Amino acid sequence: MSTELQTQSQTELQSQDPQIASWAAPPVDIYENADGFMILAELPGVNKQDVSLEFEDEELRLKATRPIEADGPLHALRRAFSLHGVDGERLSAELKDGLLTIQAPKLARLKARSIPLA
Amino acid sequence: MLTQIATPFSSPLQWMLSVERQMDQLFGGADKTDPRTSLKAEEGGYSLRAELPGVPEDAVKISVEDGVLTVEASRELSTPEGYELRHRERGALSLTRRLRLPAEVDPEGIKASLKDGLLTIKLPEREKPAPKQISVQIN
Repeated sequence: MSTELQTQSQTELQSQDPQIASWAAPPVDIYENADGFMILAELPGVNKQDVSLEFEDEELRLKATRPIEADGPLHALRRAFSLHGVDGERLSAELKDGLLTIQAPKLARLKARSIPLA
Repeated sequence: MLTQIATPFSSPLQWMLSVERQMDQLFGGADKTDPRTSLKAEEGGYSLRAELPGVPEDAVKISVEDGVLTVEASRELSTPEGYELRHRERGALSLTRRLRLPAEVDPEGIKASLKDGLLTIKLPEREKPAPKQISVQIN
């Protein structure tokens, strides 16, 4: 598993949404166990409906926006992760107190298992 | 001769800049592209904002005493049961900060709220007393 920051220029972001005035990569923590990964991302001041998670070609893309001022221009939060052997169908996420928790279970075929001797 | 009255800050603007600097040091938001803290003058007072993602309400304490605003917040980071840490960027928080309020802020009217990891403290101005006219008798 590796993490990489999707590098997008201000211009690119603004072409997606002209309301975006600034952007940053939110700090993340990543944990792993035998069943999958858990990613924590800081999204203070972000509403649930302004978060999107897309998973394609083993890449998880996190996009969020929040107003800098009430009803004003937007601050964008962007991050991308390479997640190998993850079951995209079973990804889930929860937003609480400005902290996003993403659960990314591993594909069953990649999970380590012990094989009993016959 | 004009005598200047000594105040900790000569203007509200100077006070605001000083608070912003302190809050930036405190919450680690020196990078201006990432608006982690802000202090704004608004209709009838000031609004102070700080990002505290992952900090529950009971971990934040705000008090005012003798014209000093005290903000305390803490957040502990621990690896969840059964997991191993692979990558860490978030930091633990433990802070206590005291800010001297300018005279025009009404300590009784200060209100704070924590929503979606965003702390907002409203610092309203005192209502100004109506100017009093004194007539001086000249003999």
